[in-house]
Amino acid sequence: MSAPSRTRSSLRPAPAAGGRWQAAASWLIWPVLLVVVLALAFGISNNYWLQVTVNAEIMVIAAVGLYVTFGLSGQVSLGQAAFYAIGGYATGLLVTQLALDLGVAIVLAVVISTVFGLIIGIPALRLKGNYLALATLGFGQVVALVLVNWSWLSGGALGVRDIIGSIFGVIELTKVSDWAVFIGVIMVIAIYIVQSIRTSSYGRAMQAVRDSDIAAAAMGVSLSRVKVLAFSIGAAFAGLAGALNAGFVTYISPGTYDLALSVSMLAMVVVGGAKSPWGAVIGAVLLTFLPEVLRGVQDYYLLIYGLLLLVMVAFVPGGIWGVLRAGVARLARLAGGRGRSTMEGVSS
Amino acid sequence: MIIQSLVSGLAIGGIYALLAVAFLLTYRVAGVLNFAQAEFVMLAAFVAASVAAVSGVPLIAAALLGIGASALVGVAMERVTYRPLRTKPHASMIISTVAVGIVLQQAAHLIWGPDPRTLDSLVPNISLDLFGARISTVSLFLVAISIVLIIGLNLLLSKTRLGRQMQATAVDADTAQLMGVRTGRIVIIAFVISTALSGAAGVLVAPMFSVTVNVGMLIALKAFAACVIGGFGNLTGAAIAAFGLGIVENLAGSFIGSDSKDLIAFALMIAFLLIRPQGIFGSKVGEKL
Repeated sequence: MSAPSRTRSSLRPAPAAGGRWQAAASWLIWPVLLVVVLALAFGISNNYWLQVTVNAEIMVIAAVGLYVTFGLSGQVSLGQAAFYAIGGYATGLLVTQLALDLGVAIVLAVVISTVFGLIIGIPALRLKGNYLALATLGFGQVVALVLVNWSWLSGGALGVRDIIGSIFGVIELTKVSDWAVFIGVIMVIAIYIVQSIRTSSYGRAMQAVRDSDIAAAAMGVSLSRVKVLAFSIGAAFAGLAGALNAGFVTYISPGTYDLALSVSMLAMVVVGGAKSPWGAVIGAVLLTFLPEVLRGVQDYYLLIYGLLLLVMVAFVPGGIWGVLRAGVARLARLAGGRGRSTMEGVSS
Repeated sequence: MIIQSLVSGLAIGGIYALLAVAFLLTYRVAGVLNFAQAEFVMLAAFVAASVAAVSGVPLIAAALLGIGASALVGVAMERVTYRPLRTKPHASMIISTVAVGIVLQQAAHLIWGPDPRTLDSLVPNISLDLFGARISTVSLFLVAISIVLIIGLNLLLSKTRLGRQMQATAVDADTAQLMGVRTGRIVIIAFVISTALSGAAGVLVAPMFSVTVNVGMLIALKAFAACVIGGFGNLTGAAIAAFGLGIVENLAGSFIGSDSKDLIAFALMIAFLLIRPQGIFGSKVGEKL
């Protein structure tokens, strides 16, 4: 997606006072987010809603990863569910078959999904968007079929059960609220990492590749390295999310990891807003809670979902985050226009 | 055993081939990968099955109505979702076709419910004895119809004025428009032909499986695989690859094991993307060929 508005606003030197405020706010957001996560973990007494909250946090991790692949570098992946599945099955098998520590298994699962991301990311070297969408779609199908058919490895249709273990030998997560703290903290770290990638030189290179790969290559950006990196980051985060999900729900079965999951991950980024990691966060939270809220009209849920996706792509390319941002900017302009004269008086 | 396998491979390959050329037509003329292709297969099969269930309606009329319904929805798709997005980045377009697929599938689920429907074949199912193998007339009919339709499309594209206008639009839409080709209309026609061919595949394949909302899913995915294997460059190449894929997966199904049948198509597709992304018959990979 083109992002002329963002590049413009980030290149334009911000007013000094606003810049300082913005810098302070961008640092403050992390402790605030941690407090929110802890408050959610201990504040939600209803076990069911706490589980939904943890699921939302897991989806946030996958979605901010896909934000790097799709939002930052513009590569469409229709196979995120496959990496999510690889993370989940790697964790499940390492814990149940090799009796590994759950924490170790999750780390290894992330490594394994990253390796798969690298292997599948290589088409991104040579293939443009449409082909990558096809390749990831095919990869998703292969993984889904392998999970069902290779029962010696994956347990077939039954899946893997009793994925229970301690985290690095010391911590045993038993209650849902323990998991809410654990996954919540990891989620905050994940968003922080993605935000750091975005503002790093690699993040800039990814955006350059997204907006025009020819221009980026002419400026000395290594297309292959940037594309594969962006794709592997998306795979790693999806794998982490899948691994955490496996540990949290303690069993996995192949039915979860279908094309619908890949599509809904992509939908989270698109609906929330592909131009910011916060868009992915909003999208993931919204689309995880939406089915719960729409329980009463369950038959129509997917229909509403498809229509929502169509409307967002056609009319709201910036997603919900784009709308919020535009609204805040307008408010700030209104407030700023009134307050400017006094500010200037003070500073001079 | 081998002949039987070959013929049933050719039969399902014919379905893949119809979908592959349908897929490539909109890809080349309109520049969009239609991930909702599977739903047009399903739609035609459902409409045909419902119409055929009404007593007194001849099967051929039901089949044509199903194909017509598919084409009609194809036009609606072009109008409502393709046209407003055609200047947007390809990512938006891909997501919008995926969304169209979800909407169509869910609409079908609401209209027809979860119970599978059945649709009879247009020809009676008779087992013929050929070289000691039992060959069903339905399979032969499938092979014949799909070859006729694909040759027909090829003739349309190469021999008629409309076909040449479509090719011009595929090569360079802007220049074609400057030369007086009404590219907007050409794109609609491409959508009509593409979705009608998908519908035809649906009507043909329905007697082999029962008709559910997922009937088109796997065969459309395999048609995508055939396009990759044959190369996005030419329709005939993709069609040949589709027939080949049908045969290969049927042979794998009978000799390696039935669970390898579905896997082999996607494994081949990924292998081709990695090793020879231009496909067997393609020359060079580009966004538009």
